[in-house]
Amino acid sequence: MAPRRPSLLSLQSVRVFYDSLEALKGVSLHVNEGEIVALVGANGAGKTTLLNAVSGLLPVRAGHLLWEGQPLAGRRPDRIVRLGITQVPEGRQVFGAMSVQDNLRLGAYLRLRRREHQAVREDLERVFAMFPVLRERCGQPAANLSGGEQQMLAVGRALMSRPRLLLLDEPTIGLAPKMAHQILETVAELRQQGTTILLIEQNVLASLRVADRGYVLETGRIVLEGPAAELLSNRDVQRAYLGKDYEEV
Amino acid sequence: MCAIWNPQAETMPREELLQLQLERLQSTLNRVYRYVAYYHRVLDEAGLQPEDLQSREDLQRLPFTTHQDLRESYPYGMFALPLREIVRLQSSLGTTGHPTVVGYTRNDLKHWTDLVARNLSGCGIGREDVVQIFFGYGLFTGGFGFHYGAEAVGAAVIPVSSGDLDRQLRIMQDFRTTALLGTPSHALYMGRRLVAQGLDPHSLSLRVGLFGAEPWSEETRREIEESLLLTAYDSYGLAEIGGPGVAAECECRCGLHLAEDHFLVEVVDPATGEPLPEGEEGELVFTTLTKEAFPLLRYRTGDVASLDSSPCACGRTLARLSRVLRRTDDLIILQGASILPEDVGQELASFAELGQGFQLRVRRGEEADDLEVLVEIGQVPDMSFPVVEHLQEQVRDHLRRALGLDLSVKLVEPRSLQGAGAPAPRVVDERTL
Repeated sequence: MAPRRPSLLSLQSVRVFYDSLEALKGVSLHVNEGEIVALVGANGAGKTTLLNAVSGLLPVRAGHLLWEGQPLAGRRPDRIVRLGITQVPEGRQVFGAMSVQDNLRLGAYLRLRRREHQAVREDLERVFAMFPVLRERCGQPAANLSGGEQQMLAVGRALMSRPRLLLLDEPTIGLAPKMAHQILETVAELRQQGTTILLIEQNVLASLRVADRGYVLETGRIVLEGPAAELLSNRDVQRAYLGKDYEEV
Repeated sequence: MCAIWNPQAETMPREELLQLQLERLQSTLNRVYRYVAYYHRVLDEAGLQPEDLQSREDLQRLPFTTHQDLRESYPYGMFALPLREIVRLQSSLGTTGHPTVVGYTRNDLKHWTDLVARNLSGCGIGREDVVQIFFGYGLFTGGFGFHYGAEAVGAAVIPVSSGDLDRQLRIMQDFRTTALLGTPSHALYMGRRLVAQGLDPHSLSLRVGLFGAEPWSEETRREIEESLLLTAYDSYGLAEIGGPGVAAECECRCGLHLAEDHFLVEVVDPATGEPLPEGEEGELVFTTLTKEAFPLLRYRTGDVASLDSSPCACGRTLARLSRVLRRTDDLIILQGASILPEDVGQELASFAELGQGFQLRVRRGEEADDLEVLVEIGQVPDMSFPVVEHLQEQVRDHLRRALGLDLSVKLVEPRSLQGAGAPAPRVVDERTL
């Protein structure tokens, strides 16, 4: 019997608004410890809104947002990071003028303030081991990195906070296929090392292949959920997100 | 202790189960609102949007789906997907009117298999077993449903289907069947036939039986166990929500573990429709949580039972259903088919010579359960015996054709079925169940 993985994050009927526009219309989902959960949906479905609500960047108007059973809503984003939730935003958003190493150290800001210098140095080594190219370029400004390298830097920076839950927003967007593949391999590797991941990915096929479970979000509502393999064999998903037309499915 | 087929689902902490139910309920609502015209209208008429249902309790704001609603949508009116997405069609065995057609996608069939496999594992059926299935194969869900599950647990499956007791017994002996899957009445008759033929049950290899599709009493269970020398378990399911696999006893035999990760069950007062507290007996109302092809919201089953979510010694956390022995209506379940007295009444109305009164009597026969229809003759003067006999044959042939069931008809004196004052019951079920 597989060891039970307790639920880390759970959302119950969460509603989020941009002024009067309802972006999340009562969304319920959960992420168990050690899982990769994929959140799939078209542009504008509310995927990034959901991540931003979890990170505390957007207020939750109704419903429950729970971290290990405790309410999360209303907490400041930095408090949420302290709890172990780190978001890698879409478009990398690395600090271009700063060096690669400083970008990484910034990810460990809270820990450096707690004077965990030794542990931070160890984690830096861990990130460099995972992404050797970052070590090679650790003194260079982040702006000089390629798109794929910047994505590695963004993921590496998030890892420096030692997250328990990593929220990944479109980590392969704009990357060459080979680089995209490498990033998703890293995602699988991170899970092996014990990090739980909630993944938004424009490449639905690739994300469901790496994920344990998935949710399909459409105009702010979850319309399908289940094990990733089941979603992959759902014909609605195949047509809407995998680019297969009626003849193929 | 018997193995638990799907520990992740069957031993999930209750709190996580409630979260999962909420998630699946909401995604089901979002899909039916979009894809099933009937539910779109029902929600609109109730002034609800899918997102207004924010908790499991909010489900009570929706009206029930009834058997009549399903009849009116015959055959495909309530499917949530076009036929090109459907890989299987099954049907309930309604005898008249329209049966309910149930569609399955590939994922639906996968779930069905997993659910039945859980039931079989729960009573210890596995790869060592030779399983004889005497549920009917065909549109009836029993045969195929149990077949998939039995193959999934790795048993050697004998798909005998229903019928001919002697053949069943011969196969049971020759193939060294260890497990039986079928209706309890068939098992009962097999046991009786065995005794009648003077065969020694010790010459069989039977060890376990999982029975269902009919209500059956503890007394029947004892008789089956003693005559066939096996341990008999009860299972529950119904075609409308997918067939077998909905609930079954584990080795503790203290209620039937309900697949709550796939079905949300309410127990309501049959008269008022109000939810009843846990432990109280009432009508079972099902909402499917994972069905892709044929999802149902708040379907009234007419079956009466209670729920118990306290922990079970087997380790499963899924709530237990009490054995379903009663219905809220006069529906008779006979050989896997269901018969409503109203349907019989409708057929009888085409005979001018007959009166208003009739009664359905069900009892244990030699080979199978028998249905006898008692019908009052109308106030027709001059009914000689040959005329009555001829009419009786006509009525019998008509009912057999219309209902598709073997039955007998007995014409009785006018008004003889009306007791002193109170009308006689429409149904007398003499089976000890």
